[in-house]
Amino acid sequence: MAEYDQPPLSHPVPPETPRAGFARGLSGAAILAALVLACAAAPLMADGSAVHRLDADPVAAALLDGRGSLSFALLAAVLGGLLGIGWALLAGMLGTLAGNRAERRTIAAAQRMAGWPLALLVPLAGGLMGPVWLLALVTALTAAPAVAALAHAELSSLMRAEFLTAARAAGLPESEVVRRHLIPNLTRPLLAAGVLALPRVLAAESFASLLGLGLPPALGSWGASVGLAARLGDPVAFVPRALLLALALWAACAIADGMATGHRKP
Amino acid sequence: MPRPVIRRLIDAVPTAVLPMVAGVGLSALVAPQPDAAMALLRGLVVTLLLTLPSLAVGTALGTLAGSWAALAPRSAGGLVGRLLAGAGPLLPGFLLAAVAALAVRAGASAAPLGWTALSIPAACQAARLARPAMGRALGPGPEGGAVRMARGLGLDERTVLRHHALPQAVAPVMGGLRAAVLAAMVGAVALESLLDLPGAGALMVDAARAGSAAGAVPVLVALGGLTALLNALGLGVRDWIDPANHSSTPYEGA
Repeated sequence: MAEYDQPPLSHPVPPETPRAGFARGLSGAAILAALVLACAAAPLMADGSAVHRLDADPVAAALLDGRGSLSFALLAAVLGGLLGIGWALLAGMLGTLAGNRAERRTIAAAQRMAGWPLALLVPLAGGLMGPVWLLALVTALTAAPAVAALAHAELSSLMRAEFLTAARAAGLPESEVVRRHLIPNLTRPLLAAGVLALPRVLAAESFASLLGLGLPPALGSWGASVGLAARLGDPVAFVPRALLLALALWAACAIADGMATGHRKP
Repeated sequence: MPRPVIRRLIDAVPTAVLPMVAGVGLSALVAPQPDAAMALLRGLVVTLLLTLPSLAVGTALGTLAGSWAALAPRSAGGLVGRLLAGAGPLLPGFLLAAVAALAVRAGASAAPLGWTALSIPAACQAARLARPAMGRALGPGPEGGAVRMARGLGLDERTVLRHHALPQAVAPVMGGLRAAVLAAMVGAVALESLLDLPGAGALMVDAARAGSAAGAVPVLVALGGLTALLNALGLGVRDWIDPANHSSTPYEGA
């Protein structure tokens, strides 16, 4: 049998630290920021060919397409994050007002929905409904259940934290507990859960646009251009858009992972 | 078929089989085409034939590569496992389906490319989950107890890995198969649409393009049922493999 690269039991390899997750998230944020800046500056690179995009330089045209994809994804991610966090807070409130059963049911619905192929709703909405804002709402709804499940898990773990019990045992009024302990400690986990919406909505929009059922052609989208290039068999148009889309998806996932692991205390 | 898999499939009847039946029934009742229900049934079979082998092969290869990455990170297999584990978000199923469509336009054969495109996201997901699980199974923590005990009993390394470490790496992969199933389903819809395959996803996309809710919604419901069926299969296999579920059975590996 071959020798394995296992450390001796006296020198175990430490598990991945939150710092590593934070570094990954930071690199994802840097890449996404660079992409946003490059896409914003793309009309300067296109040198007047922005109107006739098919004739333009493939990289400049790919960056121009990114403006539609990224701005739509940011809008839908904010909506999806807010919807998901609202869902989790509603479950928590129901737990306080109507008992644990109502809370469990509300979150079980989110967990069950997260297992369904909700991304298929986006092309359906693109084909059956017209306006972009409605498409953004449906795209946000596809990400909301996963955000709600994660936000609720973070909320539940925070509510069981020992420092809250200690604060209550020390006689602090509930409003003070909420103001001084709960809200400051809740902001970062909820933000981390909300960021989870970004890769999901970007992927869902790109998938719908790839099928020709996403953003209108005037707005531009990486998915739509990748789908068109794949149908036409045009690798020169395909490669830059596919690479930028993959890079943006990786960056969004890295930010979400980094936020999720980075805020946890070791 | 193993009993845990059958039990999971029976549990999944309301969430998997009923939506598929409802989708086909709705299609027969409200879809504009007269043979829409039969077309949906055929489409579901095509989608299942696209997704199930890709998921099985991708998950198996990804689990082996991820486990190898934990065993021997600097070997060739370990590098592949690390590459798969790290590259997951870069390779969504629909993008790989577009790459496959581009290659088919250039003259490549559709079937193997389609299966490969759909199996890569599953392999990435499996490698991502198997690598840390294998590390824990071989590590000094409480989850490595079975492996340490087996080594202490004098079993050879191959037997220890096959019967004690690998099942501990496979169990979380099968438990986390949901994300791979979703990616495979989305990839299959993209692939069917781009390559004009007669699958359920292509039916849904065609109906959506035509603006026909009566044609698209039943297909969506049926695809949801198919997803639940694949998830239930994954959970059944997890229950069957997970060492925690048959710790009372006598050891048969030595």
